[in-house]
Amino acid sequence: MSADPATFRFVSTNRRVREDRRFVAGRGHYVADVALEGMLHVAVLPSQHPAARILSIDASEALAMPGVHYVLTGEELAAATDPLMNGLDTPNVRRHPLAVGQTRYAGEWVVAVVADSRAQAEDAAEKVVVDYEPLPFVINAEEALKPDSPPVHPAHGSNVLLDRTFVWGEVEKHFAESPRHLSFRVTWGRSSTVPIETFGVVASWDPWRDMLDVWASIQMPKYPDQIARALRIPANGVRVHQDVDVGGSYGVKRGIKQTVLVAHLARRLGRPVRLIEDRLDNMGGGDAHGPDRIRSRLQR
Amino acid sequence: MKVELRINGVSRSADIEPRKTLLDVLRENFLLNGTHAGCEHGVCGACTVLVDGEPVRSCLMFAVQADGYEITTIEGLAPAPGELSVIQAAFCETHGLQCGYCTPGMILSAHALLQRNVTPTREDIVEAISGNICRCTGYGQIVEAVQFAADRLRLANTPRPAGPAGKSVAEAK
Repeated sequence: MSADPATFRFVSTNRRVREDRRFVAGRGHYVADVALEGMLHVAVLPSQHPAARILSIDASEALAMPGVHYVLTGEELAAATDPLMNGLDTPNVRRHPLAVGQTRYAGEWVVAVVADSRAQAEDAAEKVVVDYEPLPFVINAEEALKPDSPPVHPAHGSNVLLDRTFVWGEVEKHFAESPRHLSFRVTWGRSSTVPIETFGVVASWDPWRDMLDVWASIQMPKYPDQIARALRIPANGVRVHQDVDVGGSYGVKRGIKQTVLVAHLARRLGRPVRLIEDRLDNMGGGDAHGPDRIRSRLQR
Repeated sequence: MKVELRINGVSRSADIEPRKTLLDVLRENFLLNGTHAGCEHGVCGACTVLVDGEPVRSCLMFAVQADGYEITTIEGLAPAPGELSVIQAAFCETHGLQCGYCTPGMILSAHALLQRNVTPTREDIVEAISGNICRCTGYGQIVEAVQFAADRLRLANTPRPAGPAGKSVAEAK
């Protein structure tokens, strides 16, 4: 089939992008531009340890700071919500927005502080005293596979979450027939796409309609479903507003744990709550993308 | 602490904490949301504003330091509501943006360049936007946008031979 390119409406024609006009004028509508009446702000306190048991959390000084409304711990959040979906058959690997019992990486969020402004929440987060008992840790994927490696999720029993062989075609036969064999080892360091806009979310709970309203820097399918599941509410009880511009994502913006966190707080406090990651929140404990990867093709 | 800021040609006053950045004051006190927070430590340029015409990172400047200076934000560039400046229109025409988050800072940096030089070389343009990170475009179309805007500014009001009707400068080139 052939067609005269000049007859195409979209292909090879000069077209303008509908939203560009407002973007170049600074009139976009990103999540940090969403302001709701009575909205409260969240700051998170990250773990400084790669692995540590959480012995106690003392928030009394933080709660006495000006403008502070609430300090949320992982224990409370885990009791009120279900673990986040991880897509594997590993019931004892439980992922929560805030660490429960122990931390598993430096930067993992341990406590969330809610205040009238983000600055007040950050000030108060500095006053939260967490007593940690450092645990052995592993930071190398191959070391983690050894039987004597410190378990990241002790309840799971090992550091292997999935062990599967994917086969296309008659692999053994083709290797046997091949005149040459290559042997190589490739490693990828941890990497992530880094949008200029970090992830952010605003949530508001309407107790009279049992409805969660969410504004977020999101473009992920199944986002409302996963939030609803973790919050133990029906999927049609989550309304994600799609009029929010996204300041880049490149696949990294999943935002489930952040949204479950602020949704719980909005429901608990009866006020709209927002969390806009700062760059440190984003890099240390946000949605990182690519893990360490090692690929070897060994001589047969 | 009381500050008197001149923003986009209008005098505004506010009572603010001395530790508050110019970025936060522009966004929170004056609702000028076109200035964006990116890295919050002065390397990405998303928060760029002009202070007396020079590009400045508003995340690294306290609002109290801006007292008495002429501040231009992206909201101050459009000549009239719904009407784009030459540079803003050029970014749309050459697709010099996608998500739009870095765009206000990028346009202000370009604006500062073209205010003093309407015959920039490619190197001049690259240097002028070297403090602004864009993750969507790969920069090629941004450089093209600034070059295109410079051409338009230079050729504005210059008599041109009659060309085919309805062609823009870019198409006629």
